[in-house]
Order: sequence, then C-alpha cells, then structure tokens
Amino acid sequence: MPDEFTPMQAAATAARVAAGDKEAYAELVDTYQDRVRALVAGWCRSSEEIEETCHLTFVQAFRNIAAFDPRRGSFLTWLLRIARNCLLAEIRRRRNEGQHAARYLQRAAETGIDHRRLEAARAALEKCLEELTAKEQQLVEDRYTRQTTSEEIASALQKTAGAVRMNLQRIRERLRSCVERRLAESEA
Amino acid sequence: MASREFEELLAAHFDGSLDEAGATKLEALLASDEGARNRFAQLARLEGLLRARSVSGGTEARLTSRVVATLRRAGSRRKFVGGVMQDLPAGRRPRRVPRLIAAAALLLAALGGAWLLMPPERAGTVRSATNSSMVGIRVSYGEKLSTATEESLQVRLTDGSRLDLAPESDAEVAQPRMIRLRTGKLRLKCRADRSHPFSVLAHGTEARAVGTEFTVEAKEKDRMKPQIAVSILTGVVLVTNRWGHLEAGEGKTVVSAAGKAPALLAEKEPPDKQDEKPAPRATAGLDKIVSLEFTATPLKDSVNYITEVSGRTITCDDELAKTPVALRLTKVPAVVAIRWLARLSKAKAYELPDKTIIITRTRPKNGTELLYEADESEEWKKEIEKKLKKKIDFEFVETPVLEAINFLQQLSGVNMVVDPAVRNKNTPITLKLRQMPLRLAMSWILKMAGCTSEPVDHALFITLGRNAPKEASGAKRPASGVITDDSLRKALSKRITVNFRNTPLKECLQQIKTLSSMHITAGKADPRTPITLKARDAAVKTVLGKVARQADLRIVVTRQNTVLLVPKTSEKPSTKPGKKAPQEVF
Repeated sequence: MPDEFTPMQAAATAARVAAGDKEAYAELVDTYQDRVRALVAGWCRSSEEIEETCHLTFVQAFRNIAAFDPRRGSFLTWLLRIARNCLLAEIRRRRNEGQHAARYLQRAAETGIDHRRLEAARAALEKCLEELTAKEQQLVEDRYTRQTTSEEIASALQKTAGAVRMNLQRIRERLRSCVERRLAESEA
Repeated sequence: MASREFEELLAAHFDGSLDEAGATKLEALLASDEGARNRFAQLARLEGLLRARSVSGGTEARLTSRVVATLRRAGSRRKFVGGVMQDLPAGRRPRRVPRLIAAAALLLAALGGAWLLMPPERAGTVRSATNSSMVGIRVSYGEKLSTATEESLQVRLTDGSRLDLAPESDAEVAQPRMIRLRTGKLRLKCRADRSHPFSVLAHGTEARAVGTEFTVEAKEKDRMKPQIAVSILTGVVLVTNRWGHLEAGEGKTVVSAAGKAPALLAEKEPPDKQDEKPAPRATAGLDKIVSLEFTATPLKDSVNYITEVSGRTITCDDELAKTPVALRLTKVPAVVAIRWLARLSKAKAYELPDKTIIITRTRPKNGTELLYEADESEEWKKEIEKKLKKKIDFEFVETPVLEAINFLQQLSGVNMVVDPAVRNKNTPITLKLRQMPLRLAMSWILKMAGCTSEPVDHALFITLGRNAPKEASGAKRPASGVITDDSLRKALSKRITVNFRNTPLKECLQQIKTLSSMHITAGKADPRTPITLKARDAAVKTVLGKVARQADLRIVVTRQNTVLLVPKTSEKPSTKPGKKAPQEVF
C-alpha cells in the first residue's frame, strides 16, 4: 500500500496535476483507489463493474481537477463525492440497460451512499472483525479474501449453499450493527 | 425489518445469486420501507469495505496503469477517435459511443480510408470488454460487447472485419471469425477469406459469409421463439438453422425462426439500405438527427464534426476557429446543432449559394441567413415539458452548478445549453431534494446560482438571470406577491394544532390569533360561518388557507402586517392615495 498523503500533500499533488503533471496523478490514484473501491464495491455486482466505476471516477476527477478547491474540503472528500456521482450514474445506466439488480440498488443508492463516514466505518470494521469468532473469521476470509463462492464453501463444509449464504448474512448483520454502534459512539 | 424473507433476499443479493423474481421483491421492499433502505445501504457499505480490504496489489496496479494509459491516450488523441471525445481527457467512458457518432464514422468508412484516421491499438493490449470498444479500436476474440439505449458501437475485429453494434445489443466475439449475437442487432462488413468463412450465431441460426456485408437482428418479441433477420447488403450469405438453410444475395432479407427453415422476407429493401437513402436536396444533411458533446472544443473542430455527420460542408471564420465551444445535445437535427454553435460563438450561420454553411459574425455577400431562426414548433417544447415532469432525488454538496446541470441533463435526457457566462461563474450549490419534479428542482438550482432558463431551439438555455444577485449589492427588491417581512413569514410558518367542529369563524380566528400571536381580522365576512377543521402540527398559513376556503374567503396581508380575510367576491380593500395595496398571499 502506498504511503498515506496528508490533506496538504494531496492538495499539493492535485495542484501539480492541474498544472499539467499527469504522472503525479498516478500517485493520487495509487493512494486513494482503495477508498474509492470501498465506496463503490458494495453497490456493484461484479469485479468488472467495480473496476469500471473506479476507472470512471478517477478519469472524471482528472477532468475536473482544476475545480478542486482545498479550502472547501479535503481531496479525499472531493474524490469520494465524484465516486458517489459516478456510481449513481452507473447504477442508472445499468437500470436503463435492463439489469434487474440495478432497479432495487437505485432505490437504496440515491439516499444511501454515505461517502462522508466511509473512513470512520473503515476503522470501525477492523475492530469489529476482531470480535468475530474464529469460525466466522475463517468464513469471511474464504468469502472475501480467497473469493470462494458459497457453493464451493458449502461443498467443503458439507452444507447447503443456502445455509452458507445465510451464515454469511448473519455475520454481515453482526458486523453491520457493530460498525454502526462504533460510529454512533465516536460521533457522540 | 427482520422478516426471514428480507434476510434471504439480502443474503442472495450479497452472494450475487438473486434472481429476477427476488430482485422484484427486494425492490418492492426497499421502495416501501425506509428502514429497509437504510439497512441495505449500511450493508452495502460494509460489503464494499470487506471487498476492498482484500483486493490484491495486482488489481490496484492495474487500475493505476489503466487510468494513466487512458489519460495519456486522451492527451494524444485527435479527431475522430471516439468522435466527440476528441478533446476530452477521456472523461467519457470510451466504450459507449453515441449512435450517430458511430454512424458518422461509418460514413467516413464508406467514403474510404476512414480507418487510416484511427490510431493503431498496441499489439497484445489486454482489455476488458467494458473498456475496449471505441470507434475503430480492434477487439479480439473472447471480448463481450454491449450497448445501452441510444448508444451504438463500432469496432474492428482482429482480422480487419468491421462490426457495428446497434443500441441495446449484446454480442461476443466468440472466435476470431465468429460472433455470437445474444440480443439486438449488428452489422458486419467482413474481410474476405475463402478458407475461413465468417459466422454470426444468433439463437441457433448461423449466418455465414466469405466476404460480404450484412446485418443480423435478433428479435425477441417472444422470448421462447426469437426471430432472426439477416439482411444482405452486399455479397452472398448462407443462413442455416436446424430445420434447413438458404443462400441469399444482395438486397434480400432472410428470416429464421424456431421450427421453420430460413425463408426470404417479402421483397423489400433491407432496413439499413432504406436508412441510407439521401434526404431531399433542399435540406440534405441538415435534418439529420445528431448527438454531440463538445467540451471547450475549438469551433473549427466542432463544425468539422457536424460536417462529417451531416454530409454538409460547414466552415467558420478564421477569427472564430479557435473559439472554445461547450455544447452537449442529444438527438437534434444537424441544423439545430449548427445554430447553437453559432449562438455560442456570438455569430450567425449563413448558407452560401454553393450550399456551404458558414458561421461568421459578418454577413457574407450573397449569404442567406436561413439558419439563424430558432425552431418555434411546439413538439420539442412538449417533449421537454414531459421530461421535466419526471420526479428525481439528488443531493449536491458544494457542487459546481455546471456539474449539477450536467448531472440533471444525463438523468433527464433534456438538452441543456449553458451560457458561457454561467460557465465562467460556475457557482457551487448545496441542495438536497427528494421526489421533486425536475422542473422544480431545476428552478431551485438555477435560483441558487442566479440563473434562469428558457426553452430555445430544442434545448433549455441556461443563462445568468436578469435579476441575478450581484455580489456585495444592496438589499434585493422582492418580487411582487412575496411576503417580505421576516417576522410575518415566521409567524405564518409557525406550527399549530387546532380542532374545530362547526365552530363559528370568529371563534376559529380568535383561536388561531392566540396560537400564532398574529393580528387576524375577518373583515366583512360572516363571523358565524361554521368551520370544521382538524389540523395537527400544521403551519398557520395552511390552517388559515383551509379556514378561508371553507368560509369562501380570500386572505390578504396589509402593509401593517395584518392578515385580513375578505369575501372572494368583494373588491380589494381600498387604499388611500399614496399607500400601496395589500398583498394577496394565498
């Protein structure tokens, strides 16, 4: 993972890019792509869609980089706002293409994409993951890190795919309430 | 929201295995339950975080290099690479090429040598299907191509054949000389190779040709019985399905459906040939429907593009050649696009005797100014009106107004042309709206940015308002009919709860007066008029309005900030000379 930028460094790099230094933009992409990916990934159905939306976000941000004003907020907030808009546009496009998932995604996305609390949620998740049991951690590892499908996990565990899916859903639910609780605590 | 069904739907969604029936159920649940929406959004955020934390370094490096490559490509791209995207730093998704831009490239290709304008793609470039398909770019086998509504796609295959994919189509380059069409329509101009005939497969039908041009359309009126139509533009094509085969030549259309051998369609020109009929001479090219997007594109390049699309020769004055033009129009006649280019460059468009169109600020000798009159017909205005009724949700936080307009333009499909003066100002706006008609949403945005809009020539023209607030100017003069006094406005907005059941008007007003601390008089109204009204936590203004309606009264506010209820039929309260008339508020 690349070194983190301070807001000042990010703003300075953005200014270099705006002045024509395209190569400096690669540093910004390197640094912030995980945040953009985290914002869009939950709303995309495939890794191609995620990468496409991330790509669009960074290209869009590059186009508008002259409009970035560090006095109004950090580069990350600005970038995530662009990512949110790109994501909404992508969902709308997919809905227009007739993808059934995009219909319900759009219902929740219009008001539900929260780019402001992403950083805090990211930190909270790491702590919440530690609260899971070893078995649950293993399941999360299998599903997300190894990208094993529910069917594959089910056949390894000699369970039905439906049972694995519900198990994963229960873990997500635990993590969700843990993250929300921690966010509420930190905001209080 | 803890129903088992909802849990199962969520589990299936995040597993990626939710079917269409499940999607419909989930959509209904999310539409009706805000709690469910919130929970879904929180889970989606969690899912994103979980997925992102396990992304490999390789994926990250790929994204960086892909973005950098796109930016580099954009920097060196010149005209007709991606049509209107020529001067964009690749902000547009390259795959999606507006239909008419692709058509323009087709036209060039027909004239010959168009491919020479296309930059060669680097050999061995690995591209996903979703980013590969710009006009003229080569795609290799294994790639999937798809187009959305109002978009088409033109690609070159590795063997040199050319493929045009119509809107709403899905296809796959299954093998080097084989295309699988899943839905929609494609047009193929395949390179001759006797030893390897080119095949297009669609729902069990194969159209095979050695070197020829034809279209294949998968019509899915009945999902169980798709119909395939193969129109042969040049050469000979062999159409085969499991019930038989048929060889057909130029100008013929072969139809293949389940249970029947391929058959010739009644003598008719292939649809694509019909499309290619020249327009009547008088307006040749000018009524051609075009879509375009220019972002600070020099006028000369912009008119060149319209020349390519419309087939009419269009030029501009040398002094205007470098004028940057920002214009985005979808599906308008070419003449409208020309007029907009002229307007935005503060010039006019003239037609010369040799039919050349010139955009200039000085009227040329023998030039006829026939292109400057805006289209005053009602059809396009009605179309815009209809689109403006669409209800939308959005949230802008410190968003430059141009970005907001761009977003709404994409969302609604309404053409919006922005005055360069607005571009220079680009006021940031913060606004959150839910389920508001686009018309109202636009009026809010424009009000905040100090702009106005009016329908002009197939578009909404957004310009700085005449009464646009000037920085550091004095107090604004309020529009008539608007309550100006803050304390009165506050009092009218105060929330009160009342319960009148056949209560005399006088008593009702007394109660409202006490609750709102306002001065309210019934004027000449009958104080005994019975009022029945139950309002909980409603604005004083609303309550008064309802009371007035029941008593057949209207409400006016005097300059002394007294609310007066007078019979609707009576004249307005008299005013002494020199004094201003009271304002009607409801």
